[in-house]
Amino acid sequence: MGTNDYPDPVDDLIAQRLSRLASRPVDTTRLDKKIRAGIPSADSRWRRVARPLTAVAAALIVLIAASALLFSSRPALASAADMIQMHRDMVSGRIATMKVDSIGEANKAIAAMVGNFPQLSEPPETHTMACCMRNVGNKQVACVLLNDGATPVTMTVARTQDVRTPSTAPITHDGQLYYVQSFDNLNMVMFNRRQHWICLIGALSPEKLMDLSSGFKFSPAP
Amino acid sequence: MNPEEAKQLFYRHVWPLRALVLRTARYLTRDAAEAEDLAQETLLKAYRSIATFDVSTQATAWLTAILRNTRIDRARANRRESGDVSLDAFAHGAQDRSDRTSPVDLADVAALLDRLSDEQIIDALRDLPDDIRWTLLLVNVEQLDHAQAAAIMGVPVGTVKSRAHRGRQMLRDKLLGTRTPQKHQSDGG
Repeated sequence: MGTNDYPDPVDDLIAQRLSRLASRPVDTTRLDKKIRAGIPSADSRWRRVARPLTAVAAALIVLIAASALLFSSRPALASAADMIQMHRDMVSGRIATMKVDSIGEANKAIAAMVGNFPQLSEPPETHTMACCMRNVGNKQVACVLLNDGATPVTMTVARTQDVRTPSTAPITHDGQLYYVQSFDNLNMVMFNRRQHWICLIGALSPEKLMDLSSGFKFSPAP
Repeated sequence: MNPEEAKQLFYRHVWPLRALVLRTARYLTRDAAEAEDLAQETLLKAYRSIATFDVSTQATAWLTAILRNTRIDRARANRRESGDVSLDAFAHGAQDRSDRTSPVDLADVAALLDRLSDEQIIDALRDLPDDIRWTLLLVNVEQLDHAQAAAIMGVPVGTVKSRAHRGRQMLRDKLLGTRTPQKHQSDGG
C-alpha cells in the first residue's frame, strides 16, 4: 500500500502504525510442537538415504570414542626396544633435554613442563645431568640422565597405573622384585616403588643397577 | 497426492507462515489459548486441504482464507464472539462522530501514534467489528492488496476499500479521540 492510497495524511499515519504490527515477534514454540505431533516432518529422499548413514556414522563415532577412552585409560607398554632407544637418544643428545645439576632441579623443571607429576628421587652416588619429558604410548614419562662415575644411566619414571612392564619373569634382589632385560651392552631394570614405575638403563650390570635403585626414596605419587 | 507429497508441500509453503497465522489469531481474540487453538486448527485444516493449494499463487492469501473460515466456524460453534459490535451499529456511531472535527497537527499525531504501545493498538483493533478488523488486518497489517483481501472475505474490492477507510477512521477515533474533516465513504458491499 503506497502513500498515494491515503490522501488524508492522518489516515496514512494510522496505516503506517498498523503495518508495524506485522513485524511483532510471536513465539511459535508450543504451536510448533502441536503441529509437528500431528504432522511429522516430510522425509526427503536425501533424508531417507542419509538416515542409515547417519546411524552408521554415529555408531563409528561412539566406537572410536569408546576405543580412545579404553586405550587412554590402559597403561602403555614400555617395550625394551623403545626404552633402549630412548636411552641412546638421550645419551647421544639426539633429543632435546634440559640441563640440571640435581634431582631437585629436575623436579622443578618437570613440574614447570607438566605440572602435577611424581617427584623423582635422587639415586645415591650419581650426578644428575639432564632431564626431559617423553611419551611411552600415550603416557608421559620423565627421563633423567644420571652419571655413575663415567657411565651414563637413564632413569625413566612414570605413575604405575600409566605404564606396564614387558612380561618377563621377575627376579628378586634384596627382597624387591625387578624385571631385567639386556640389549647389546646395555642392561635395563624395571621396578615399582610407592606408585612409581621406574626403569634404569645403562652399561652397568643388572646387579649394579638394582643396587642403585635400593637408595631411592620415593614419596607416594600424587 | 500421497501423504509424503502433502507433507512436503505443507512444510515448504505453509510452515513458514505459521507465525503470521498465530499473530493474526492473537489480533483477533483476547484469549492467548484461544488464539493458539485457532492457529493450530487453521494449520491442520491447511494440511488436510493442501491438495487444493495452487503453488503458483501466494500461500498467504490461501492460508488467511482458511484462518478466516476457521474463525467463523469456531465463533458459530461456541458463540464466544457474540459480544462483537455489529458493523452497522459501529458504522452508525462512526457516522455520528464524523461531524465532530478539529484541526490536528500531523507531527503531534505521529508522535502520539509512536508513543502508543502495540498492545494499545491491538486492543483498539479487537474492539472493532469483525469485518472491519479483518479488513485492517489483511490490508494494513499483512499488506495484502485489496483484490486478495476481497477474495478472502468474499466481498467486492470496493467494499474492502471502504471498510479499510472506515476502519482507520474508527481507530483514529479510538486512539486519538479526534478526526480531521473528510468526506464520508459508505460501505460499497
